[in-house]
Amino acid sequence: MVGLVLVSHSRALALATQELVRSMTGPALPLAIAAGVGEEHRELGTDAVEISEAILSVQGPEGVVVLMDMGSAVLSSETALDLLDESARANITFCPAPFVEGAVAAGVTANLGAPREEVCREALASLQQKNHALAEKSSTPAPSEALQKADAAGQTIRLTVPNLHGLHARPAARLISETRPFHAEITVRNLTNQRGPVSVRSLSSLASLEILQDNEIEVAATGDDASSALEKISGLVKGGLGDPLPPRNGKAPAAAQAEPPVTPKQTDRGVPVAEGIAIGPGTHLEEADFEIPQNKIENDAPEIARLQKAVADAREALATRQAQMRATVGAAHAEIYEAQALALQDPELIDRAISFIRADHDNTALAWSRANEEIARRYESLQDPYFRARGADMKDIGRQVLEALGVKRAPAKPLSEPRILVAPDFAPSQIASLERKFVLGVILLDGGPTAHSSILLRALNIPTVVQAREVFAGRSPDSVQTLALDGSTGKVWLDPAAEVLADLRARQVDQRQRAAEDKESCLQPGATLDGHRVEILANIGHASEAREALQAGAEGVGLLRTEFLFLERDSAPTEEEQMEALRSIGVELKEKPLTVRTLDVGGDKKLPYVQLAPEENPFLGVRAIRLCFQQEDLFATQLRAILRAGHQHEFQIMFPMIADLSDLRRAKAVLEKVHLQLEHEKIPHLWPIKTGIMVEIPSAAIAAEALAEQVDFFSIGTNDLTQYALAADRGNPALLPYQDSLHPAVLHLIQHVVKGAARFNRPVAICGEAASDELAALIFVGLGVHELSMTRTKIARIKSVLRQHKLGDVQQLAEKALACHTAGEVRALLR
Amino acid sequence: METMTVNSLDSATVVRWMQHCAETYQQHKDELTALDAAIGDADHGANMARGFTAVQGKLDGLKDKDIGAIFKGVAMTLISTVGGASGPLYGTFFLQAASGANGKTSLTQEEVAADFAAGLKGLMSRGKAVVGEKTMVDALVPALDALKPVANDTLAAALDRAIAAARKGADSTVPMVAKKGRASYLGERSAGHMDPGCLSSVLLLEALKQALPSG
Repeated sequence: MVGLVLVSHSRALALATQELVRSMTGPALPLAIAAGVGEEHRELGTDAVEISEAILSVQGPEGVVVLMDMGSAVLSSETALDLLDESARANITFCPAPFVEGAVAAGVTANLGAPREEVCREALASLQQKNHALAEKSSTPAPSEALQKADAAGQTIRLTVPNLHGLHARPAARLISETRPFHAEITVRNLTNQRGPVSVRSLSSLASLEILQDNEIEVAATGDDASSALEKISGLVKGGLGDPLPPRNGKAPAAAQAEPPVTPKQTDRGVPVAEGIAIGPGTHLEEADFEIPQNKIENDAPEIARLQKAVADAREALATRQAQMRATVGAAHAEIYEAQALALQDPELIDRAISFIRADHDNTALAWSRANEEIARRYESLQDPYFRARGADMKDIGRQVLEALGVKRAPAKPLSEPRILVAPDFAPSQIASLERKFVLGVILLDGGPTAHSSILLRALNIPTVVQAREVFAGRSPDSVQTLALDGSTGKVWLDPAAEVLADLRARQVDQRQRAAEDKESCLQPGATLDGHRVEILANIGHASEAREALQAGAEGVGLLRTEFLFLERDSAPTEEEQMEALRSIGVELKEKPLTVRTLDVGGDKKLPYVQLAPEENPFLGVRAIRLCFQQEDLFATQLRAILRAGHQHEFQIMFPMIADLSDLRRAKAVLEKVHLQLEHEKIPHLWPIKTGIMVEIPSAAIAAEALAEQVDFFSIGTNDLTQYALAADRGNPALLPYQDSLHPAVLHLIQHVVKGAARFNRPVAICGEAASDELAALIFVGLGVHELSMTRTKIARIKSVLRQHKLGDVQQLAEKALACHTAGEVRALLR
Repeated sequence: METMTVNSLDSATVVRWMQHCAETYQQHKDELTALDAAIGDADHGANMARGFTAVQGKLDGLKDKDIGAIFKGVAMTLISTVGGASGPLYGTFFLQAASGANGKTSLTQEEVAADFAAGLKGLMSRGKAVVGEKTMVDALVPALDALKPVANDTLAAALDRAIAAARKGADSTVPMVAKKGRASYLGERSAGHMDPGCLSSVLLLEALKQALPSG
């Protein structure tokens, strides 16, 4: 029997491999190992003397096959041969097979009594087996006859791909779109890894070529415009297809060959939305939500027509979304939709679906979802992480077409145990249907911190992180067993280690305990440790929230958003209707104050019954008080309702978006007129009524002193004030660093308002989001703000934080904050 | 009295050479390992130190033998104790050098040059390496070339030339991309670091220079 020698750097590896071989062969096979060096061979390395001894120990008339791992194992084995007598060298074969697989195959073959050559051949074949097994999964689709012909007959050019990450999705998409106008049949082949040829028209096929940086490709074209197509492609590929070209010298990142490029945007956090720690199993709400009909069809033509129409519809919807994205977050982010749109036109995908309709008589939805899944899987099996991520794009496209086909979504499975919900985004209606006790937390892959759903989740006290898509980059949320999130930092953990979990659990217990303590003391009036009084009020958006606000410790309502009366209806609410709703709040609040903000629409909120000219920049356009001036009837009706409902209650009126004194005078003139009319009609109403303004526009902050003379109070809307002071759209996630209301520029504006107001002894409130931010609240109080108005769920916490600090300390903190230069520096003050 | 010019290599000097090797590889262990960490598996320093410490332990039994026998003993020890590729490579060097020194207790300068050249030939055929592949060959080939005697030469002067040539050769490996050994797995990333095998070759020659009787 042929003897076997295993040479390895590692004693442990050799012993384990030996065990593996023995498990297949039993004890009869002559088998020896030579591995490791130094004391007890514990160190990594090989010893030629030991190898020569191992060879001699298993050498019989049929000779020896030697398998080795790498590097010096080969050198040492060759040296060992030198150490043997000439006669002993004759029947030894060094076999270059892979060490582990080869050893098993060689052992089994030798055990059957095969000669040396066959033992070595079988060992080598073990690699082929693996090659095939893996190639099957990620193989290039077999080229069609037409493609092969085109590839064989056409003109060809060879190009080297300069792109740092190879021909990943974006440059591939570019290549496809740029070559679309040509009639020629164009194929691409990767000469470096011998894959292809595939059609240049299919993104998934191009992806399957796994073209990496510096790979050589061959492009072939046949047809009348073949030459010009090739010329165009040559220029495009050399120019990087829209990717910045890597510098030619010192091209260190060529390591792309050896290790997959790290996705640069990968991160461990999203954007924090609602604080709290959540730990638990996740439920991905996107999966398995379509009910794909399984029926077979007889007549394929109408099904194919239906498919083509659905694809066209989905493409149109995609184009619309792309345009929206381009407008809101910029062209770079919108490009992903372009890649999706291209994938939708991938002939491979559509042909596959059509073939399922024709051959298997699948209905359109079934055929489409089969084809889509097949191609998505093909992407996901690729090594390049860029392409793998395209699998998710493909699935996304799949859903869009199913939607266009009108396939019903399965009703969301009601939760039966506590989960962390993962979803691309939530509609407010979906949130409303959640059973709170089963929702540990929410992770939205998209969504936005200021989106309606985020505000709802915050109000529901559900720990939430949004814009977390990149946290899952390359991983399906379903493959995660345990999720954890920290809603105050935005950090998300996928299958956290035991220590991390223990730490998170401890913090979670702390937080809950603190929340319970806060709750106990939430009904005490707001004040600092040394008794400086700060009124803590609630922001509410609906009449029904008043009672809950009081229960949560609100000392009144600092901001009633009256839009609930106007939105989601086809005609304006009547005076009576408004009065009823406002009065019900007054009844609830009894003698506690209510600040009613007049209608604030325009910007992102439109009313179907109010015609407005289209605007380039709605947030800088006719919104809020400006709209009311244009629609004076609407405005006057609202003012009448407020004055009437406020009769015998503590109501005050607040005008939004006041830019200067003339705005204020104009608004007050309307109010005066309404009052006189009510007087004239002898209708009881609240008069005089306290009148104030929202400070949202920097000009109002700057003119605070002049305005103070004319108003009874100020309330600062920090979100808008920040957006306008820093010229940063609050809905644009790319501008997050500019959206922090703790920016020193905003703090200086607030200080200016406080000083101006003080000249006439007017109170200043903060009713923006920042009032419920612990650090911000302290700084505001230090700046001299008298009232903080916030979402009711934060009232207990803020009251409690306030009670732990003395006025002098927060004044010092405010001083320091004013001296900072960035919001980041301010935030660092309390760390 | 005529001053002694060192023009030959005797057994005692070879034994001292090996002792110096054991010391110098121990001293430079971390430096070699650091170089190897950059482009290989970070074991070259430890491997060389282990190998020559083992050689040092054998010297008592070798010191009375001829140079061929000493070289052979050194070769076998390196082959079985170094562990990495440098074991069979340096081992082969000494093994091939041994055949020309069999039965001799002293080698002339010409014999040293020829003997070492034979060793290098063996080393190169074992490693299948040529100049320019970022291996110890890049230091050893120019070094042994410089070792060839010139007019009015001494072994010390020749070794000085050889050491300088070896250093230069070692420096030339810095920008190279490795084509052999573990470093070749790194491809382009191996550029920017000296080949650790070159440094160990320089140290080998410097140890020999130190071992020469002064004068």
